[in-house]
This record gives sequence, structure tokens and C-alpha cells, in this order.
Amino acid sequence: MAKELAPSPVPPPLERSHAIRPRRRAVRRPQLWTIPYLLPGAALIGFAFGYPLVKLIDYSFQTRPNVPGWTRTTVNYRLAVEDPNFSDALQHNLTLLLAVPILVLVALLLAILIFAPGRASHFYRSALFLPYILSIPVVGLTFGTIYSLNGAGNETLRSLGLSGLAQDWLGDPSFALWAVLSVIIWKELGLGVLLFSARMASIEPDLFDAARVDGARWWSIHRHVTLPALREVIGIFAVIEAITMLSWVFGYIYTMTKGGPGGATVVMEYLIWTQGFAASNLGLASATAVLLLGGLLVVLLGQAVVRAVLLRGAR
Amino acid sequence: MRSAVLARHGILIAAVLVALAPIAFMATTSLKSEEDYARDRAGLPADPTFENISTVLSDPNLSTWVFNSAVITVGSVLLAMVAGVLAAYPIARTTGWLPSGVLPALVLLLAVPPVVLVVPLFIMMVNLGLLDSKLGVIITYAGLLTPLATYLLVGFIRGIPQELDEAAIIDGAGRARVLLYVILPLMRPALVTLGVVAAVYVWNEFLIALLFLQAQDAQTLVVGIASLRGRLDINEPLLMAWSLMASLPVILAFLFGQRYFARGLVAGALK
Repeated sequence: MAKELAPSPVPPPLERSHAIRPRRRAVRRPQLWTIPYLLPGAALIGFAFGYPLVKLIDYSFQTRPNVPGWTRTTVNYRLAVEDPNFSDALQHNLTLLLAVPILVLVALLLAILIFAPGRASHFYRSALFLPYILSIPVVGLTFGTIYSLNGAGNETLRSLGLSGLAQDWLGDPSFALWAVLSVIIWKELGLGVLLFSARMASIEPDLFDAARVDGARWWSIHRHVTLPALREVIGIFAVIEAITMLSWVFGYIYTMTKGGPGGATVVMEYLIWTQGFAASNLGLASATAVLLLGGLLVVLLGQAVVRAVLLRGAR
Repeated sequence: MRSAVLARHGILIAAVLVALAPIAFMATTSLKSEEDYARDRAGLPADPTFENISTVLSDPNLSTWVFNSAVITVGSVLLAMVAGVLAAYPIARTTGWLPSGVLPALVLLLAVPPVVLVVPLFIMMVNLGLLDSKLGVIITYAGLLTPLATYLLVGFIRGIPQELDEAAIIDGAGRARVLLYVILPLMRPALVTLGVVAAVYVWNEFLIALLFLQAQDAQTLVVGIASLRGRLDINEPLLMAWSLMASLPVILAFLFGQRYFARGLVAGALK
């Protein structure tokens, strides 16, 4: 079964762009027959995304959302920005972004090392991928146990004679966020290895052979063959992980630190959850959520611009 | 040359050890008694016991939570697939504003984090009386999965030659018949791929399940386990036994459906 992981999934990019634009007889009129097919999907998306996004903005300008007698206000935004936890949370999310370059570099190195035919490669890839499919709360509980003051992590350090390095990883404000960061890297790494390996498998083997015949060494083969081929997928992986670090880490925080110690690991999602559901201030939580969404939009637009510029430079 | 090969395997084996050690810790700790764990936290169990596992298996919460997780996973994945197949067909088989407008919008929706949706969704659930009901979260998950489902299936249907559609239409079949009898049978591999990826997502999802299923007998397995931490009768080996129980289904799904899982993630990211 391990051997199934390999190349088949990715069609080479050339084939793909042909598949997307076959020459069809173009019909420009609105096609009424499509409507009933689109309706169920549109209804589900409307339920989960459309209506909530509209109401989110609406609620962010209400004093007490959904309670009779609310009034229009911008006070939620002022409170959201002035909340001392807001700048802390933002700073923590930005710190987590450090995981992105680490993930890219380590996944790249591992994908290159794995890239060779044989049973061992399939085993390596599958084993490295396993953490990615576990649920975040289970990962959080497991690492919470390992990282505790008398947990398996410190016990291992002590038994190696390194008791000086043993720390209360999640209970010490100067280590807690870094400990969480290490867990996120542990879990997300497998996705990078999978994506990079899949793309590498679709590189023409001739390119490697040609480079080798030309006498290129390991480093320069990968510098001139692998890296250019992987540029696009590296960009995609980096964007996926950046979005993860900014807005998909709630489960880790909830199960490992609850934002503590002393607010050292509060992130935007945890802040929104605390404001909205622990403190029952749904207007404030909505305003913070709108700010987070705005920030994400800026990041997405920014990367689209950077990619467009880079692609133009490459041509 | 030889030392390069050794270095390659050395680095990879080290990476695999780091990846697997916490999972091995979960498994071995669940086989320790409380005293055994207190004596040695990192090592192998000195006297392996299945006591924790049997405690978990006999806990009435387990069957409730597994049942809830299973119903919610199956329900939302099926719903998203039906909506995805129906929507993907016209998007894949037309040109113009439909594919060029809808596809980028779907990609944008994939980036919307659930945390910004939960406040309005929560108020919706309260107003509709759907708090603690499976129906509410099934519809929510199906909605969250529909962009991914539609996007993946559009890519797949475009790979099916349009001549097949045209031949069936000449034979007098309508659009619905073409989709049901020509396209759908060919989509089986894509649906399995999508199903595995989507099912693992729903099974593992935390935030929405935590907020919308608060009563203990309404919780999913993952949320139930996360809530065990504060309970007095829970010790670390028992907690790890619970974690193992929640992980086994996804690990099994991975081992048997690995090829589909990898294909789905790669297609989702690269197309």
C-alpha cells in the first residue's frame, strides 16, 4: 500500500493547461439549464459562508447582537483594537509565521532526500505523512503530556544527562509559544513532503540524466533542475501554511495552553473565542473577526501580486 | 558515494523517528498502569496492561461519541458530494462567466477560516433551534466542504472527454441522464478520493463541534476527548488510551486509503 503514495496524482503541468482549455464551441448566452444543478451547492455555501459573512459585518456594528434593543455603533472596533490582548495575539500569530520558512526548507530537504525509487522511499514518505492526518486536539493532548514538567520529553533529557535543558515547556511564558510552534511544525511537515514529492515525481527524468551527464553534482542538480520545477508548489505550500499559522491553530492552543501562561500563547482565534463565547460579547468578537479576515485578505492579495511579479520576471 | 547514501538514510530515519515518536508515545503510554507511568514516563511499558483500553471501551461515552462522529461525518460528506457533483457538472461543461467567475471564488472561500464564521453561525443555530443537533453541524460541514468538493470535481469532469456527453445527447439523453449514467460512473475514483479527504476533515474538526455540540451526549469523539482533560478520574495513560481510540479510525483510513488521500490533497493544492 505504501507504494501507492507515489507519483500518479499529479499530471504534469503542460497536460493540465491543455485539459483546462480544450477548444469548445463557446456559448455566450446565460445557460438556464445550469441553474437547478447549481442550486444545492449555492444553498449550502450560502448557509455556511454567504449569510454568516454578511451577518458578521452586521454584528460587528451592533452593541448587543441578536438581543432586542441593540443600536448601531463602532465601539466594537475601538474596543477590539484597544484590547491589550489584541496586539499580543497578533504578535503571536506573526511569530508563528516563522514556521513557514522552516517548514518549506525542511520539507524540501526531506523531499529531495526521499526522491529515489525503491521501497524505502515509500516508507519514508508515508511515515512522515502520518502526523498530518491526526486530529489537532489529540496531537495537543499528546504533546501536552510529553512537554509537561515531569513529562516524557524532560525525562528523556534528564536520562541523557541534560537535566539543565529540562524546562516547563508549556508552563513558562518564555518557552510556551515556541513549544506550540514546534508541535505545529511536527504536524504540518508531512503535507509539504507529500506535495513536493508529488511534484518532483512529475519532473522529466531526462532532465536529471542530462544534468548528471554534464557532470553536475548533487547540489547543482537540485539547484538547477528541482528548485525551478518546484517553485510554484513551494509558493502554494507557503501560502497554505501562512494561512494556517494566522487562522487555523485554535485546537493546539485550546488543548495545550488555553492561551496561557499569562496570555503568552493567546492567538487571534483564541481571542475571538474568548470574547465571543467565554465573555459572551458577540459584537466585540465579530469586530475582531472582521479585522482578522481583512488581514488575511491583505495577505492573499499581497501574495497574488508577488506571484504575478515573479512570474513576469521569469518569462 | 557510500557515505552519501548512509547520510541520506541517516537523516531520513532520524526524521521518521521524530515523526513517529509522539505516536509511539501515545500507544505505549496507553499500555502502562498509572504506577508504571509514574516510574518511567518515556520508556516502554514494564508490565503492559490493557486496563486503560478496556476502561475506554467500557465507557458509555465512547459509543455515544463514536456514533455522533460517524453520523456527522457520513451525513456531511454525502451531502457535500451530492452538491459538489451537481454543481461541478455545469461548471465543467460550459465556458464563459460560470467557470471563470465561480472557480476563483471557490478558491477564495477555501481560505476563509472557520473562526470568522462561528459567531454568526452560532446565532443562526440558536435562532433555528439547531444547537446540540447533528443536523445543524452536518449542514455547516457540508457547506464548508462544498467549495473543495466542487473545485476538485470540476477538474476531474474536465478530464472526461466531452464526446461521451455528445454521443449520449445524440442518442436522445437529457443532461440529467448524461450526468447520472455517463459521467457519474466514471467519477468513482474522484469521489473516493474526495470522500476520504473530506471524512478525515470532518472527523478531526474541532472548533465548530466544540461550539455547536455542547451537551455531553451530543459531542463528537474529538471534542469529548478534549474535554476529558479536566476530569478528576482521568490520568495520563487513560488520556492516551482515549487519544489512541480517536486516532485509530483515521490511521486505518490512511493505511487503506492512502493513495486516494494523497491524490486528493495533491489535486486540491496543485490544480
